Amino acid sequence: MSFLNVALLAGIAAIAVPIAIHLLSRRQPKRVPFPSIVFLQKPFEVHSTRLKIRKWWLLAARIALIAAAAFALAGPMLGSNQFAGWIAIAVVMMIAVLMLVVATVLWSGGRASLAKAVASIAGVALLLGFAWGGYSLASGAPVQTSVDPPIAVGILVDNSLTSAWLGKREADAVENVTPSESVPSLKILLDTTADLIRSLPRGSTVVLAERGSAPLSVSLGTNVIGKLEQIQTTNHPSSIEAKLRALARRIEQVENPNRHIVLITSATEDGIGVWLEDPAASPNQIPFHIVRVGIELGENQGITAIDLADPTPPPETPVAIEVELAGAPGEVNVELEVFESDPALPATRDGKIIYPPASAVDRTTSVLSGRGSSKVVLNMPGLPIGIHQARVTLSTTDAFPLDDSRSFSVLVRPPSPVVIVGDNESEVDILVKTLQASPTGSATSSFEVQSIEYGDLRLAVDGQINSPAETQPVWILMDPPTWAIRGDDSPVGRSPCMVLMGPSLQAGTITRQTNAPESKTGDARRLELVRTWRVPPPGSFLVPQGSHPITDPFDRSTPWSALPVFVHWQVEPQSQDRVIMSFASSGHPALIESIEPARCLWVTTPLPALNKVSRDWNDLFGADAWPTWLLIRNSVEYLANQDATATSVPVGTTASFPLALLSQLAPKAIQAEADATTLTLYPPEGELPAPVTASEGVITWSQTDLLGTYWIRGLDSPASGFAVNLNEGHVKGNTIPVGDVRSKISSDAEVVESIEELQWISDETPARVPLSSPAILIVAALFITELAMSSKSK
Amino acid sequence: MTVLSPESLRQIKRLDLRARMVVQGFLQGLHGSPFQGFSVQFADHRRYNRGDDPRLIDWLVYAKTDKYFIKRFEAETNITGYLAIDTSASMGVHSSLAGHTDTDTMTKFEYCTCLAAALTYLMTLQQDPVGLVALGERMRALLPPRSRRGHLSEVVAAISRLEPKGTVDLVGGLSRLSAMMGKNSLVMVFSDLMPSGDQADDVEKHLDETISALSRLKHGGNDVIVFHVLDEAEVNFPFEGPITFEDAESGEAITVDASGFRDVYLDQLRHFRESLVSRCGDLNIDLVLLHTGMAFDTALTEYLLERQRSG
Repeated sequence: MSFLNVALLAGIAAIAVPIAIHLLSRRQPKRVPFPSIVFLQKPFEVHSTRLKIRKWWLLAARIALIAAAAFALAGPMLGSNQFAGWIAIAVVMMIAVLMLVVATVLWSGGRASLAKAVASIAGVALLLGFAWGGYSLASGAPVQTSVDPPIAVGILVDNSLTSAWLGKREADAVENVTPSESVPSLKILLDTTADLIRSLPRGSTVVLAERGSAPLSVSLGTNVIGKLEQIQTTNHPSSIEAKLRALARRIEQVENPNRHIVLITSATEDGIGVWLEDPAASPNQIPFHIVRVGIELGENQGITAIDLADPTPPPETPVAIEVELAGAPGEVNVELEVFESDPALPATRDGKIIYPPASAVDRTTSVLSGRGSSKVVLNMPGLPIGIHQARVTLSTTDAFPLDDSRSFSVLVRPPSPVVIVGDNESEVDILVKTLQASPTGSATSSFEVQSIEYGDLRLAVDGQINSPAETQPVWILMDPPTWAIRGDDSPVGRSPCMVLMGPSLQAGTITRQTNAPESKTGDARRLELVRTWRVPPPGSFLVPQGSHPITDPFDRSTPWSALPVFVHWQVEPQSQDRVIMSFASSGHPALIESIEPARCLWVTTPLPALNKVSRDWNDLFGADAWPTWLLIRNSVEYLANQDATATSVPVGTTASFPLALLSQLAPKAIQAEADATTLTLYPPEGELPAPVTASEGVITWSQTDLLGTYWIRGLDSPASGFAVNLNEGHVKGNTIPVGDVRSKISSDAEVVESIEELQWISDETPARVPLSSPAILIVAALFITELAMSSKSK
Repeated sequence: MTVLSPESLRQIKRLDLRARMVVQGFLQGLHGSPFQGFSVQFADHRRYNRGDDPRLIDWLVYAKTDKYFIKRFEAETNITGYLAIDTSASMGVHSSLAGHTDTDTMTKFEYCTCLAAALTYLMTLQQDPVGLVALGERMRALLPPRSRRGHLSEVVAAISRLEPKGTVDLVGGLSRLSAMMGKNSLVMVFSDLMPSGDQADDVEKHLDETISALSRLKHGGNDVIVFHVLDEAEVNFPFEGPITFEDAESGEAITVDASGFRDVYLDQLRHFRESLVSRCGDLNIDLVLLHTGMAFDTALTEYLLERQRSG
């Protein structure tokens, strides 16, 4: 039991007044000569006793009246968990009083002994009641007596991606009272949060959290409202569960035991949908509330994905870019912009970041119908060698601006040198055409192809052996004789090679050449050719094994089974070698990658297998041989290191920018230079530049929370960089109805639509039961009793 | 009638003057002549009216005039009156609060003496002989009944000399009085009839004995009027709060809460007086309930009515 104003309990001291009156009134009665005293003598004995008892009861009533009045004025409060105990005490006391009344009646009736017995029992009961009450008062947990006890509340604002969505409050939209302008959802959420913080009882502690990477803000009272302004939409929200756990940990450090956690959200599917699928229980048993702010989100159109036909096009080769659009029906203008390669930009001038200017190179118009998506194709003109930054933008004014633009990088490299070694001219020609073909039909190709015969191999190998690693050609050995893949004359083990095994080989162990004779990994350089393996018609076919850059472009629908293989070499690879493809029937390797000492791809059946000898081996270059065609190109690109494309990462993930990309473009030891140089990274949207250094030729940057192009300056070349985009896919602006939120969330959480509905009283905090009203009733009853007794005793 | 009120009479010191004031004031207030016609000496005639006693018709005048006339006379017979006054200490106290000198009201004894003197005066006017008896621890016959003119002053002087003190043996006094007297006397007893001395504890017994003593008087062929005089405070019990009540005679004191005892006391008193009234009624004894706040005419009227009955 606690009191609103304990000081008023001092009023109990006023019981001294009736006691004093009682004692004073006993002194010196007036003396009156009275002859008729005989009429007083008879009733005197009975009546004086009754009168005395009445006097004592009157005194008791007056004391109780004053004590009860002081008690009522002090504003007693009882915790609901203490209620039963105090009820029991009250019952004991009432029984004691009733027994005293009975004792009085018995005494008046002349049954003194029985009255004494009853009175002594009543006295014991009274003592018990007082002792029990005193113990409960001393040992009971204090009840929060102030009208609104301060609480400790952790508030998590759901400033995830969709909080940038423009909308208006559902209440405004429905009631149509104040047709407000559309504002970002975040502003509505922050306004709601500010209202919530203002509505908290005085002295409350607030811990504010958002879904970005900002640390928790702890504040007493409403001071935290200032921190709300710093909350912005985060493009890369942390998981709600982690944030709630962090909040719970922090809130538990607050001394106030009345703790709460509140999630303020617009409840979009992209915002809390994933979390709602499996919401954890209330963190650390702290009462959890969800304020689902009803926001009517506006219409949106956005870019869901872009797909470059060739992210590493040859110089001056146009590239087609397929842009996927989705959203509300209507006409949209799509524009492709390319940033100019200005070596002096970006730079800080007069406190402002100046980015390289972008110029529009293509634009088109598309009409979105229904809720479906549509695709448009934009053409990027041929670009010179280098890494180019570009972006696709939607020129539209919709409710969600974040998905109206996507950035990307295009890596234009000089053609890689390829040497095809083969004795059959027509077959060589086919491979040359395969490699030189351009997806866009341009004259320029990604490869600079030369062809020689096996007789010139030794000379050619000698000529290339001392050239720098960057200009080492990729060797393609078609149906090589055994000597061409082992021994000093072979490029295998020195340069990147692709060996198309054919009938010219003989079974046996192939020991590959090495540039590092001191290497002790001798076994790793061996390859066992067991024998040729024949497969009766309809033959076997190739099956990709696991994920590899060469086979990743193929999907399950690729018709490998339509390209049969009848004869192939059975090869036993070493443990370090990797099997990229195998044969469906025998499980023998079809495409093997060996790394030591130089990268080499082994194809265990000849290609294109069109001459007399090799024609029986397979039908891979038969009708509709596009998988084989793509396999060869992918393999050569892989060997030529052309598969490394420019970097484009999803928002929030760590971007790594290998300087090896630049090393292919610009000459010499940029890598070594970059490791020692401090570079400058310019994030988009005018954020302040930051110094970065490369480590082992790779620049890594983890703070990719902003969308757009991150520029890296400081290298001896035009500024390069990487692009950060939203995850592919359509950002949906669907909100989850409050009923669904309630049904999915655990039962101990409270889901409300406005802060007025929030219940701060939890099971842990005993409910306060004000006792003032019953106390005033008791006072009134005692007052009436006192009046009746005093008037009767006159 | 303020001139007859005890409060105003108390300002007159001489008892004879008091008595005269009382009686004259009383007689002025009477209407008609219910108290005339007790004399043998002819006064005058008047026409017979309906309701007049036919015995009083003067037949001689009827013979002469053929009309009915009634004879009117001076008092015819004499009644010997005895004034028996209780002189116990309880008659002489003011039942007002201690320290509060109440000079406006009489004590019971003063009231009785005043009333006795007034009756003496009245009886003397009628030429009735009046005797005086003081009832104390013993009965004292102070003056024998006489009707001569100077007797009034003797009686008044004797009353003035009386002092209330000690106890009273009312029963013994009355018994002795009845033995002492002949027949056809009018005994007027002035007392509060409170038990005294040995009988102080038992009201009922005292009442029984008192009534029996009175009955002896009555059965002795006398008329008896009992003036039961109480103090005004004894009748109204105007006390509040804790008060110590003292008995003037025995010195006994009890402390009670007067507020709480008021009803009980008044109940007891009413019961006593009712008992008194009923038993006196049974014996055909006239009982006049008085208190010191009442005017005297009640008492005087009672005497005259009794006088008429006996005439």
